[in-house]
Amino acid sequence: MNLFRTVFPINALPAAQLVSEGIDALSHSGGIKLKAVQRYYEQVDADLLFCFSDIAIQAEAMGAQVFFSPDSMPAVSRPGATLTRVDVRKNPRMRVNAEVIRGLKRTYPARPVAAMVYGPFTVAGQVAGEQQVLRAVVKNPDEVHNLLEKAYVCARDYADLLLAAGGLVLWVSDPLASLLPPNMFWEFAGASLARLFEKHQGPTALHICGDTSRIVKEMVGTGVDSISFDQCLDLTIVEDEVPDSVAIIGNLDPVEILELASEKAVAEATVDLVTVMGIKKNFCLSSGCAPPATTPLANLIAFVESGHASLAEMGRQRIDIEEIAIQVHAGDRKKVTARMEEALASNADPMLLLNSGLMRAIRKGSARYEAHSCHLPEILLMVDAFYDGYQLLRPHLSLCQRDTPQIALGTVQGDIHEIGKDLVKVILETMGVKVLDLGVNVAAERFLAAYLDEGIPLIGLSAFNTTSRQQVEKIVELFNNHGCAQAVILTGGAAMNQQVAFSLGCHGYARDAMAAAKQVRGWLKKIED
Amino acid sequence: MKIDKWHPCLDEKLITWLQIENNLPAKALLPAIWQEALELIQPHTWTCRLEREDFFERFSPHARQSKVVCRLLEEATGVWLLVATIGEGLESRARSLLQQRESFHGYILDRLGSFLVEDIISTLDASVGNHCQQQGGQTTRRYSPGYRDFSLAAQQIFVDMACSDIPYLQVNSGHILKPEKSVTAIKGEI
Repeated sequence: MNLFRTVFPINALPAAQLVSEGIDALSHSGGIKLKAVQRYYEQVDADLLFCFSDIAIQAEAMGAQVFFSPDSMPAVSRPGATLTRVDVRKNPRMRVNAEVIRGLKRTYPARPVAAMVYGPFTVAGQVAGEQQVLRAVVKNPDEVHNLLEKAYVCARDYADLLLAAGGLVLWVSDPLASLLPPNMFWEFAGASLARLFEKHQGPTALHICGDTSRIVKEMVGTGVDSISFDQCLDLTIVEDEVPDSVAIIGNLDPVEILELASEKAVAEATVDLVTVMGIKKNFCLSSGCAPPATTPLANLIAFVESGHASLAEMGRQRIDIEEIAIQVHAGDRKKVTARMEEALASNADPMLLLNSGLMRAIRKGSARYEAHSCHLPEILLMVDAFYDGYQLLRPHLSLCQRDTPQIALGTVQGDIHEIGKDLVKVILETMGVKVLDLGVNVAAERFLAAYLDEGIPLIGLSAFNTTSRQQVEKIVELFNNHGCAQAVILTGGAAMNQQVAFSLGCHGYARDAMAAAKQVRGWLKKIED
Repeated sequence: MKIDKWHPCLDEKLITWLQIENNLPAKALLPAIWQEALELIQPHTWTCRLEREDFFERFSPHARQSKVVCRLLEEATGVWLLVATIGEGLESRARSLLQQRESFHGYILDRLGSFLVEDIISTLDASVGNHCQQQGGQTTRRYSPGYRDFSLAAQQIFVDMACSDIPYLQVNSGHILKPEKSVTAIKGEI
C-alpha cells in the first residue's frame, strides 16, 4: 500500500466542532473523540484517517506540563522530563488515541488509519525547552543524545501502541527538525526517524514544517515512503530530489486557504495544485500542515471533493504529460515538438497540455529562479521550448482568450532600452498574462490612456536611465492628477530599486523579468479577488 | 590613436558572466551565437586628447558640475576622450529575435554585444594608457557620463566631436547613445 494519488487533510482537528464538549474533554475521552472524528469523516471523504492527535501528548507522557482548554489545542506549558521509561499502555491519553483508532478501523475497515506520532527531536525540544535544545546541539550534544534516546523510545512504544490498535500508516511529524542546521539534521533528527521507520513494515510518512528544501535528501534517506511538505515550499522545487517510489505529499495552505478562504477559492486552489502536481504519479494531495480546529468543514469537503475529481480527470489522460513538462523545463525544443505532436495526435486534452505540460514547466522554472537554483538564460531556453509547443497547441485551444490586456508595458519617454521590457513581456505571456506592448520612448499620456480608455489595470514602466526616474515620477503624478488611484503602477530597470520606486509613488518594483512576472501575477490575483 | 590588437575570445570567464556555466544545452548553443555576434558587429573607436582647461570649457557645464570628474582630473594636464561602438547590426538582430520569440538567442546576443563593446573600450583604454606610459606619463582611471554626478547629457558633446569619424552615432532626447551598444568615457593624463 502507498499513498500515491490519495487525498486527505492532515490530522482531524476540525472534528472538535462536531461535539458539544470542549477540546480539553475530547482530549481525555475516547468516546467523545471517536464520536467527533466519526462525524468528521462522515462528511470529509478522506483517503487517510487520523485520530485527532495533539502535539503535546508524548511530551506530557515524558513529564512536561500541558495546558488544556475547551477552545484551543493542548500545548506544553512547562518543560520537564522523567528519567523513567514511559509506559505507554498505562498513559490515559495515549490509550484514548489507541481506542479512537480501533473505533475508526471498525467504522471504516477499508480505509487506512494513520498512527500519528511526533519525532524525537521535537519531543526533546518540548520536554527540555526548544531554545535550550537548539543551543545544546552545538554546546552539549551528548546531553541532547541522551534526551533523544528517551524521546525515541517513547515515540517507538507509542507508535507500536497505535499500530497495534489498527493504525496502518506510521505518520511522524517532526516540526522542530526544520530549525536544525542542515548539516546537523541527520545526527539529531534523521537518525532517530530512520530507526522508527525501519521498525515498521507498513507504509510510513514524514512531515516536517517549514522550509525543508535543503534537507530533502536526508528526509529521503530516513527510508520513509512518503514525505509531506509545508505550504511554504513550491513542490516543483523539491520534486526532483524525491524518488518516484516515494510519495510527495502536499501542500495546500491550511490557514490562508483551508481555514480563511471561501469554498470556491479552496476548490480553485485545489485544482490549481493538482494541475501542477497531478502529473506526478507519486503525488498525494494534502494540506501543508494540519488545518486548525476552527477550519470550516465546508472548506475541507470542497478540498477533498475537488481534489478527488481533478486527480481522477488527470488520471484519465493516456499520454505522459509529465514528459512534456520535463522537456520544456530542459529547454529541449525538438523533444517538445515531438511529444506535443504525439499528444495532439492521440487527442489529449489541449487545456491539460497547456496548463500541466507547458505552463507547469515555466512555473517550475520561475520557482527555481526565485530559489536561486537557476539563471535567466535557462528560463529563456524554457520559454523558447514553451512557444514551440504552444504554436502546435494553439489551433486546438478553444480559449477563452482575454480581449483586454491585463498590463500595459512600455519604456518611459526619453529611454529607448527595449530588451529588458521585451523579456518581461515574453515571460508574462508565457505565464498566460495578456500584455499590451507600448514600445519604447512612451509618453506619460499614452500610459494614462491605456488605463483610462482601454481599461488596463496594471501599468509597467521600464526605466533604465537615471533621467528616466523623472519620467516615472511624472507618470505617477499624471495618474494622481486624473484621480486614477486604482491603477497599479509597477516599475523596473537599471535606474530603479525598491526604495526609489516607492519614493516615486509606484506600487511595486521588480529587479528583473522573473520578479516582474511574480509581481504582476500577485497584483492580478489581488485585483481579481 | 589606433586601438591595440583586439581579439575578443569566448572563454570560461565570459561563459560564467553569461550565467550558463552549468547549463549544457545553453553552452552548446553559445559558439554559434558568438560567431554570429562577431559577424554582426562593426567596431568603431574614436579618441581625442584635449588640454585640461579646454576639456572643462568644451564639456561645460557638466564637467565642472561633477565633483567626481573634478577630483579625477585634479592632477591631470590633459584629458583623453574615448568613444567605442559596435554599430547597430547586432542590437537590431537581437531585438528581432526577441520579437520572433527566440528569447535565448536574442538575449545572449544582446549580452554578447554588451560584453564586446565593453571589451573594446577596455582595450582602447589600455592603448591610451600604454601610449601615455611610453611618453613617460601616467593616466587616471576611465570615467563615463551617467555615473554618479557626471551628467549623461555630456554624451552629446562626445557625439558632436566624433561625428566625422562615426557619423551614425547619435544621442536622443534622454541622452542615450544610438546605437545602444556604444560607450563614451574620459581618461586623465598626468
